[in-house]
This record gives sequence, C-alpha cells and structure tokens, in this order.
Amino acid sequence: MRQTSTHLQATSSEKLTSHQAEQVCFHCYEPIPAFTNITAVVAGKQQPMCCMGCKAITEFIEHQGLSQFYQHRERLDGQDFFGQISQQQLNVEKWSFLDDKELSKDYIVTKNSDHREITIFVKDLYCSSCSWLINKALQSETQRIQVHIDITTKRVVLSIDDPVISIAKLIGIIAQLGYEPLIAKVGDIKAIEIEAKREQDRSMKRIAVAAFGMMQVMTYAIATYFGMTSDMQVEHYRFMTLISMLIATVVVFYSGKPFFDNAINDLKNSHFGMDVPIALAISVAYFPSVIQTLSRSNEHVYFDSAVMFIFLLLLGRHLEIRARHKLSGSNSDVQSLLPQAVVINRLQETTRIRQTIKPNEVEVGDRLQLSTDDVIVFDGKLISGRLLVDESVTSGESLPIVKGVGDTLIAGSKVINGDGLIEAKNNWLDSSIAKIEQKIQSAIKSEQFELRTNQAISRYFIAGVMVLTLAVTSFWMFYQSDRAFEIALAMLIAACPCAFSLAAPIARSAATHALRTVGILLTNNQVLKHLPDISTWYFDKTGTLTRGEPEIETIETVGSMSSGECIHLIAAMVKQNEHVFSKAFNHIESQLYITDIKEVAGQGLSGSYVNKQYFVGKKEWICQNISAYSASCRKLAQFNNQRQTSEMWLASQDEVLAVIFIKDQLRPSAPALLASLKETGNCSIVLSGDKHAAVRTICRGLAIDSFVSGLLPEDKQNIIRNKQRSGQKVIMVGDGVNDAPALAQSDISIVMASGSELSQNNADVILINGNLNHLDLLKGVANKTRQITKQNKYWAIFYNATILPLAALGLLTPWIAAIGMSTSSLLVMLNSLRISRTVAIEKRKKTYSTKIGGKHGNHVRINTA
Amino acid sequence: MEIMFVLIPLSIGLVGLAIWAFFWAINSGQFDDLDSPSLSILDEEIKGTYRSKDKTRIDRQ
Repeated sequence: MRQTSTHLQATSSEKLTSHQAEQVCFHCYEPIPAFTNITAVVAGKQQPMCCMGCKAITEFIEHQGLSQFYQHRERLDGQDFFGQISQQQLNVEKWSFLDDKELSKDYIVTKNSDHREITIFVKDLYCSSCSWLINKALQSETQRIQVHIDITTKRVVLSIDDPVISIAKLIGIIAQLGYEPLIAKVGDIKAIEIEAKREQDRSMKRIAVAAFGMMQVMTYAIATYFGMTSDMQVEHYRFMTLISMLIATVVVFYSGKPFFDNAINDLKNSHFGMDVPIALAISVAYFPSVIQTLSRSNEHVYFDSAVMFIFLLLLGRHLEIRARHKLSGSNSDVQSLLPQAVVINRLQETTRIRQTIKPNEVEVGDRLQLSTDDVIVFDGKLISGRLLVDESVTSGESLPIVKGVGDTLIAGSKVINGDGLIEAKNNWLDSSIAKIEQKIQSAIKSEQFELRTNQAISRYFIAGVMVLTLAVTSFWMFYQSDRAFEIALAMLIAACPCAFSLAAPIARSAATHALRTVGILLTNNQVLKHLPDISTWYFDKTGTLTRGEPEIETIETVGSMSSGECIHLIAAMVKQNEHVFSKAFNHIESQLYITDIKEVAGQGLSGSYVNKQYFVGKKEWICQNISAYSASCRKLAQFNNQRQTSEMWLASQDEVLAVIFIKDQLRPSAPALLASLKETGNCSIVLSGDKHAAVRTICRGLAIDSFVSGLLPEDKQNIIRNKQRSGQKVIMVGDGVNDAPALAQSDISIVMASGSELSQNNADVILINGNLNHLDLLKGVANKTRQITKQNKYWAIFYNATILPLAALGLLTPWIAAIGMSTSSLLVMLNSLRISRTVAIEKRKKTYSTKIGGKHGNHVRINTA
Repeated sequence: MEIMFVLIPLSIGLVGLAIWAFFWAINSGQFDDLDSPSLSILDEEIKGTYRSKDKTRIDRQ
C-alpha cells in the first residue's frame, strides 16, 4: 500500500461499483490480489483489505475511533489522499527535540507553565475531512487541546493545556495519519503573520465604520442640498449638520487614523509622501467644517466629502494589501525547505555520539543516515550506500541522479530511493543552500533602495502646490482679508491632488483585482508600472516552459507484444514506484496484477506476470538481465542514440519488447506566448540548469532568441546582472529554488504557483494555474493600466490647472470646489474600472477557445511499429 | 417634520448596532477562514461518540 498512486477522481464512480462487488480493498480501493484473505473490522463490520499495510492503517483509524473518516472521504475532491498515507511506525524520534526545553524554544510559545502553543504547516491539507481527522486524532490523545486549522494557509495551531503530554507525540500522530508536518518558528509566525492578520482585521473595521458613516452623512448631505432649494427650517438644517459632524468625527479619527499617522511620520522625517496631501485634504474638509458648525454660521460644510474620501481610499488600500498577503502564508527562509531537526552522529574525541541538531548547527564530519524521502540538509559526501537523488530544487536538473560512494550531495536535494550514509563536508554558512539564501537577501536589499529614490520625485509636486496656496492666501490677506479664509479653503480643496494621487493606485488596484479573477496574482503592483518598458524576458525551462512532469512521447515495439499491452504492463509494474518517469504512467489504469515486484535503485524494476519475468528500466541494466541480447535490441540501441529524449526499456525474460521515449512535455501555452512576445518585439532567452541536449530539444520550434544550458543558480543570476549592467531591465519567469537568486535579481519576477514556496515569496507575480498565455494578458493589462493611469493623470492635472486659478481669483466657493473634487475623483475611479472590462473580455475569449480547442498536448501519442 | 428628531437618533442607534455586530464578527474570527466551516455542517457525529473507549457506539449501530 506504500504510496499507491490511485487516481480517485478519474475512476471513483466505477470503483465504487466494483467496491460493492467486493473486489477492492475497503481502504485504498486497489483490487484485492487472488488468494488474499485479510480483513479488518470497521464500525463493527468485517471489511476486505488488500494488504497488511491497509489493515494496519484501517485499524489505526478505527482504534482512534475515527472510522467516520470513511464516510467523509467521498468528498475528497479527487485529491490523492490515500497515496499520501504512509505506514511508518510512530516515529517520534524525528520530533523529539520538541520535548527538549532548550531546542524547542524557537517553536513553542509557552504562556504559562500549563499552556503551550505550536504552529505547524501541513502541506497536504485539502478539505474538511483532513481537518476533521487531525482534530479528532489529537483530541483522542488528550482532551485538553484546541486545534485550530486554517485550510487556505495550510496551518494548524495546537493550543495545549496539558502540561505533561509530549508534543513530539502529537506531531507524530499527525505524521502517522499520512501528513507531512512542518514546524513553524515562533518568530516567523508570531511577529509577522499575527501582526499582518491583526492589521487586516483593523483595516476591515476601519472600512466598516467609514462605510456606515458615509451612508449616514451622505443621506443628510443630500437632504440639506435639497433643503436649500425648498424651505428647510433652520433648526432642522442645524440638527442634521450636528449629527453629520458627530459621525464624521468618529470616521475621521477612527478610520482616517492611519493617514494622519503616516503623514505625521512623513513630516517628522521631512519627507512628503502621498499621505501628506491626503491627511491635509481630510483636515481641510473636516476642521473648518467643525468650526463653521460650532460657530452657528450657515455656511456649507464638507463632512460628506471628508467621509467619502476616507472610505474610498481605505477600500483601495485594503484591496491592495489583501492581494499582497494572499499567498504569503508560509515562512520565507530557505531553511523552511529543510527538516527542522536531524539526528546525526557526531565525532567527539574518538567516539561517535548521536545528537539531535538543527540543520544550521551542522559541523564538518557529522554523519547522517539517509533513506527514501529524506531531504539532505547539508552538503556532503556519500560514504556508504547508493542513492537516487532529485536535485531539481537546487540545480534545475530535471532527472534524478544516481549517487555512489564518494559522490557529492547538495543540501536541499531529496532522496528518491535507496539508503546511504553521508558525511558533512562543510558547515552551514558554506553550504550551497545558505549561499542561495544570502544571494536572495542581497538582491532584495538593492531593490528597496531603488524604490526610495522613486518616491522622492513625487514629493516636490505636493510641496509646490502647498507653497502656491500659501502665497495666494497671503496676497488675499493684504488685498481683502475677510475673504482670505474662504479662498484658502477653496484653493486647498481645489488643489488637493486627490484625483492625482488616486490616478495610479486606483488603476493599479483595479488591475490587480481583475487579474486575480483569472489567476494572476500580483504581490507587488509596481509590476504594472514597469512591465511595458521591459522587452527582455528570461525563462527557466523545467517546470516553467515545460510542465515538470514527464509524459510518454512514443513507444517503439520490437517484440511480440503490442504497444498497448506494453504500456499497460509497465503501468502495472510502476504503479507503486516513485521514480519521476513512473509519473508518466500514473494516469493509465491497468488491471494487470504483477507479483514479486523488485526495485533496483537507479536501474529499474522486475516483476512476474503469468509465469514470466519482466524487466523495465535502463537499457544497460536490461541487457545484463535478459539472456538473449537480440539483433532487434542492437538495432534499437542505435536508433536511440539519435534521440534527445530519455528512454525506458521493457523486456521479458526472453526478449526486448519495447522502448518508451519519455519527455518532459512543453506547456501547451508556451509556443503561443513566445510567438506573441517575438511579434511585439521582445527578446526571450531560456536559462536552464539542464543538459544541452535536453534544452535544445525543448527549445526546438519555439520563437526564442537563444538558450543557455547547464547553469548553476548563481550563473543565472550573473547573466541577469550583466544584462542589467548594460542598462536593460529584465523579466525572469521561473519556478524552482534554483531560480530564486535570478528571480530576486531581475526587475520583475514571475513564478509558477507549482514552484517552490521560496521562489514564490520573492516573486512579484504568481501564475496560479501555470498558464503561460496569462503573461500575454498581464502584458496587455499592464499596457492598459499605463494608458488609463496616463489619462487619469492628464485629467487630474487639467482639472487642477483649470480650477486652481479660479479658486485663487475668488470665483469659486469651497462648496463648488468640494463637489468638483469628488466628481473628479469619481471620474478617475470610473475610468480605472475599464481595466476590469479588458480582463473580462479576455476571459470570455479564453473560455470560448478552450471549449472549442479542448486540451491539446495532453494525450499520449502511440506509434505502433 | 418634528419626527426627524426621533428618527435620526434611531438610525444612528441602528448604525451603532450594525458596527458592533461587524466588530464582533471580526474579533471572533468569523472572517478568518471562509472555506472550511461551510463543510463542517456535514459532520453528523454526536459529541463524545468518537472516543475509542466508548464501546457503546458500536452497539448502537
């Protein structure tokens, strides 16, 4: 039952029917092998099981009193839940550092001696069944625990009131249920995440108060506008003004507080940020109105403008912040990719001592035992054993690599198969993963510096307007002092760069929002500003231009079996295998039952079917194993050398049956995107860590300018830095950790949502569904946003330029100026909404074309020889 | 028109009530997780019956 790759979604209905016919395992729905009679008692009933593994899990679930789970799992929404459940023994050793006071203090919050709190990320949290299962499993261990599970951020918070229970055991239980718990550090979660959530709550409250306040104040304002034309009584008018003032006071001081805070902060640092004119506009609309109300003059008040202004600005900002926080629900450092603690053998004097350490405490010479599924935590040398290692995270190499004794292993790689003992060759700071982390940090810092210089330019405009107002007011003081205040007010309202300051942010948040509806997430909306200027695009290959999942390209048969039979045979053999190539067969449902499957790490698999031995795997290995190395086999070997794709051989004990060519499929959207980029005069370059031949094959037929292969993460960064030194701005599209330094270096970084969390945290744009065509849409929207922003700004400047002289000449009452201000802002907002329409049209077009075109490139091409 | 002096304070009271309700909702985490609670209604269990020590559960079925 180990790692079955059952695809529940595709065949659940047919499986359910066969389930009733008692052909399949109650637990995993796999067919039950002949002559097997294993049963387990679930909810008082005997249920058939396919293997002892399923029996063990079922009994564990039953023993915990969780058999209701079996009713829940029908709602799993196709997620391969059971594939994830492993049948390890409750391995608490891995988490035992959590029970050590010293080691655990970074992970556990202790409020008092009884109360402890720990946050963990559980990657495979999909649905309510998962949260139900975890909740109940833990509560059956102790009743004095509260489990809070947030499915969207995949976070589980355990609040434990039991002073004796072992946290390691609780985490062990979660792991036993088949999840992969990742312990989060206190600092990361508590300080940043909780504060971000609190800030979001506060911002929602402010918006609510502003919204309700605005509704009220606008009602009274409209009543008084009409009251002026009809004969409204003075006391009614005054009553409404007083109530408006009351509500506006709450809104200004509660909801508008961040604007004032920021403005005061800016002024303290003698820096004119955007919040300075906003705070000034609010003050100018609010405070004189209060004076007028209290002095019982029947002049017009501007409470409605103040409140509406605050509401609109808050709403815009809230949407911006939400888009930014949406995907940052995971901690950001490289170390989060590694296990939190490992048990190593450290040489002390002459004896080796077992010790639990954090990955960054590693010393040269420490030894670590590795087995399947472990992540390598330090750079080291293999001293015994043989491993099949996936290095795609750090080097970008798409295929697993076999490591023998003496070979170097890189931190961050994952063991796919095999066992081995590794010895650390350098300490944490010198390891390759720590170096990647440092590079990201340095690139981020240089980016922040640039941002600051940008802001400096805008403050001159604001300062200029205020100086002008001051000058005109002092003129009126001498000329006609009784009108000076009225004119100063009118001028400040008229000159208020509301529309101007809204012009860019409103357009950007409209675009951000619209893009989100199609699955493009902007974490930094400055992207829209810079994107139209950039014409150099760098692409990563594995996982970006390609799907990162191998597919069957062709199958050449040479033996007595048809290609269909061969594929089914392989599918049955590799069903329980984790090799990357085995994924290519995942979607094929095979009814064949193979016994005696054996795996030779890095070589292949053997198994028997109907009294015959079959082999699938590497060419060399197969040729060793079968007795007759036939002529056809030799012919095939020659034929192969011309191919650039990877191959897999299938043989029976007597003859070679077939060669299957497997390739990492290009994303169907890639050619169209690259073609359209070329058409619009952009330059696209592919950067890959993969071998030359593999990159060349993928890039053949794509409209790219060049490609560079065999690159290390820092090579990619260097290429981008050199390009930037020549004065060009670049966009990097990537996915893995091996792209992270390059992504951080580039001016705009775009990542696939399937990529590693690390690269997502440094990304400006995240493509949720990995559709590269969306980059085209993003480009379109960025252009549109720039155009709309330009219109908005021209309008705002035109408006301010016309109305300011009028106000300065005393031709404008503050009342008309305020209406003008609101109308102008409203116009800017409505204009910005046109961006959403472009996206909506594009979206409609897309759904239409996919309906007609269907999914291309998804099927398996089979050439029968 | 004198009714206005009653109705306006009344409307303000209602607004206060609405804001209070909204604040309560935010503070008690009603907006924290908008996805999973919609499914929790599908839990049919009666509290206390999931414990494995509770053998009566099996008898009842």
